[in-house]
Amino acid sequence: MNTIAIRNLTKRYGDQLAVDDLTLEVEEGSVCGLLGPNGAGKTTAFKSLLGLLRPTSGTLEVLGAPVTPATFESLAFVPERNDLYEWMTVGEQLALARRTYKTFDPKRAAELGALFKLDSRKKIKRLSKGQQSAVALTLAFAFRPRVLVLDEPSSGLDPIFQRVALDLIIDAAASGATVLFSSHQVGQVERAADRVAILKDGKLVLDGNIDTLKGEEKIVEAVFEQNAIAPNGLASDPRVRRIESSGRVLRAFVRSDSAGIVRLLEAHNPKAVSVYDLALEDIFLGAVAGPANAYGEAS
Amino acid sequence: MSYVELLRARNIFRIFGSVLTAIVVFAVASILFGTHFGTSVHHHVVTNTNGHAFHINQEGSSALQVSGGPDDSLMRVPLEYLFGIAAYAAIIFATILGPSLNKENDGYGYAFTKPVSRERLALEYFGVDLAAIVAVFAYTLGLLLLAIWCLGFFFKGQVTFDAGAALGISASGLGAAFMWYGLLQALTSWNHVRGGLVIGLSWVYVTVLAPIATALDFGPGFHAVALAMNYINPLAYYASITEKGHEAVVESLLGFSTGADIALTWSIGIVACAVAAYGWKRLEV
Repeated sequence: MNTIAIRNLTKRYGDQLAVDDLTLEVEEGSVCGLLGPNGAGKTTAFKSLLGLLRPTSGTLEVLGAPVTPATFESLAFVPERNDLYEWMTVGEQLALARRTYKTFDPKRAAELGALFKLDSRKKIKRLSKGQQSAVALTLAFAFRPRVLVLDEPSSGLDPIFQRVALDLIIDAAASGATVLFSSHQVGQVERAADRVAILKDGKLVLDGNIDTLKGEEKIVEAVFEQNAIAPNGLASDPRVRRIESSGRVLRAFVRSDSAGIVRLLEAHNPKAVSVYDLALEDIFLGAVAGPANAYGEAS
Repeated sequence: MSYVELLRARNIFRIFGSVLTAIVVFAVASILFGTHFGTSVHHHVVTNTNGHAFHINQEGSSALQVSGGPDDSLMRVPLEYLFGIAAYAAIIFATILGPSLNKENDGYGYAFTKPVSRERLALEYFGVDLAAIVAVFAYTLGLLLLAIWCLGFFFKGQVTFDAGAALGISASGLGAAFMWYGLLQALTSWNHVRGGLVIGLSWVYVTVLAPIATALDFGPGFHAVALAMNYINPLAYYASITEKGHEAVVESLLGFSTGADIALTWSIGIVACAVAAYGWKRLEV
């Protein structure tokens, strides 16, 4: 069952197309990471999903139905910009959550507060950006929601608490929750998500299981004595999806027969040729990179 | 979720109440201090809303001798005036609370991603705010009565009370407060404009522009514009007490009956709140 279903979502702000015919479905109990450069449409997609924006077209469902206020009994949202009441204390903010959610678990809230070292007497405005993110995460996870929509959840957190935030996401998914989250840190998505969707200019350019995507390609990297020039025919080779170069380094993103591409490059006397497994960062950069740093797509 | 507005109203009430208390305590203390420690004759003049001056004389003794009016007869404190002052405090407080829905629009997500519909949330906010406005009215009235008691007026039988006038001025004042509150909500709930700016502009409109327009006489056309301006001016409906003979008469600028003033202010307030709730529901954040 798809817990989150975004179908053919288009959102325009006047003449500006923010999201263009986006279709994305997230299965129950899975973690989907949404990646994309700034302005790719991630936040607009989240806000449309949650009913904060009216979509220009498309259908949006959570738990099998359009989002209504009742949906938020089971759905936690952490916005990109911390949206806590700055004039409240941490304790008052937690008291508000306790009064709002039937399933709010004060014991869990206390555990999370201790985990993030939060002082309940402190005013929100006195907290650092990272501590405010920690409060937002505490509020989101303390009522054990079935669906979590997290827009840059670890924004401002130090590396230790970023790890805590990731553990919370993984733990929630292990308990059956469905998570859709965005991040600029590809490593976080690689660690926590089982699926990735990549947006560029409002369009979904890649969507799939991370392990499958990583297994689909290899990187063949050649280092030359002088500035690298792609051998004739390499860019149009059906085994090669894409080529990029930087100074003396040439990288070919190879769909199949990486050994054959290695032999092809070795014929041009490189200093070294190596073959790497694809990392999610490579997939991301490959999906969003413009023509400026690439030779272009293979046909 | 009304908890948010409850805390917000409480915080504003704390500051507002503190300022109000400080002003009253200072006024009472300055009268008493002058009364007890002065060695020469001091005159304290308190002017009521009608312009009558009440003189409080002291001639080196600790006894408070009070006189009022040009004939220096025993001072009379009509308690219904205190209701008018309390209502005015409620009006000021109502304008501070006015853009409470707009405050949720500063950010996005929190107020709008909770298991409560925006209509219900708006109703809860209106309810809490209205209760807080009435609480300020009651607090101010209590404070003023306490001040009168501290000054000894109750013991000397110098207080008078016209229940009809007190009821009229209270209902009219609270109606004006609610009307102003509703208009501020309607102006700010559906957008991201800064609520404080709108509060300030509304005070300029009500206390400067509308009275100037009313005072100027540029012919019937301009008079019609001035009248139209006053129909959306809450203070134009706020009755004041005037004394005709020995009767306290409650009158407003617009010249309607007190009952009509009260009905109009509350009706405009309710309609404005409904418009505000509708605009807030449709707001994209």
